Amino acid sequence: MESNENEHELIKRIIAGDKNLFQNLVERHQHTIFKIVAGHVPAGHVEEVAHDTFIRIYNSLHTYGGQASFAAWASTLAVRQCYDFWRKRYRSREVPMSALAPDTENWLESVLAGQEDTGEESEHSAARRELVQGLLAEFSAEDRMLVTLFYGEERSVKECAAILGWSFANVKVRAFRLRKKLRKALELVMERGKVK
Amino acid sequence: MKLTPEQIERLERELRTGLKEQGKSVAPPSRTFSASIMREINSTSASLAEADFSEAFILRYAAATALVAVCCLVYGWGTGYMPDDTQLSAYLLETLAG
Repeated sequence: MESNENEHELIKRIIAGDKNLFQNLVERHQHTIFKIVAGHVPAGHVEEVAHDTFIRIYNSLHTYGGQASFAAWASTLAVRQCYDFWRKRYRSREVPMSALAPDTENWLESVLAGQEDTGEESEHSAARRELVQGLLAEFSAEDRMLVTLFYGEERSVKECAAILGWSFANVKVRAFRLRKKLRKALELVMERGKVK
Repeated sequence: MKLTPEQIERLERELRTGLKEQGKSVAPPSRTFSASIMREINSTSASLAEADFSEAFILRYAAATALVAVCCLVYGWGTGYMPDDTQLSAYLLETLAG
C-alpha cells in the first residue's frame, strides 16, 4: 500500500518535469515488462519492444488515472506494444512461414500418434516452440495476440477486451472462431511439414 | 491433411504448453537497459507537462479557429457579403490574368 502511494507520488513528480525519476520506475518494473513481452514476441526482439514499451509508458504517463495499479496499467501498454510490433511485421510481410525442422516433424508425428514422450524435455521444448511459431505465423496479428492471451496466459474475454482495447463482443466472436482457425492452421503446418 | 478430434486435442495441449513456455526463458534486461531509455527520454526536450500543455493548446487553438471560420461563413452568406460561385470565379480569373 505504502509502496503504491510512493509510486503515485513518483509519477506525479515525473509528470511535473522531474524526468530522471522515470529511471526508478523502469528499474522497478523492467522484469515484469520483459516477461510479458517475451511471451508475445521472438526472443531477439524482446529488448527492443520492452524499450519501446517504456517510452510509450513515459509518453502516456499523464493519462494514468491511478485507479488500477501502475503495474497492471503498464502491463496493458506492454501487450499493446507487442500487438503493434506484430501489426508492423505483418504489414511489411516479415513473418516467416518455413517448413518444420526434421526433429520437430518426428516429435509431431509421435504427438499425433499419441505415443509417450521418450526424448529429452529440452528437445520437446524446442520442437514445441517451433510448432507454436509455425502456427502463430498462420494467424493475423489480431488472432496471434488473442491466441497468446487466451491459450498462453489463460485470460478471460473481459480481460482480453480491456488489454487489446476491443469490444467485449468482438473478442467473443474472434475467440469463438479461433478454434476453427486453429484447426486450419494446424493442418496447414502439418502439410508444410509433410507429416503423415 | 485431415486431423482427427483426438489429434487436434493433443496438438492444442502442446500449443498451450508451448505458449506458456514462451516467456519463461527470457534473458534479464541488460545493465544498460534503463540508461538507454533515459537517454532517449532526455534527448526529447519537452517534459510531459509541457507536452500535455502544447497538445491541449494546439487542440484549443484549432477548435477556436474552426469556430471563427464557421461563424464568418454563416455571417457572410447571411448578409450577402460572401461572393457566390460566379463572382468568385470571375475574381479569380481576373487575378490570374494579372
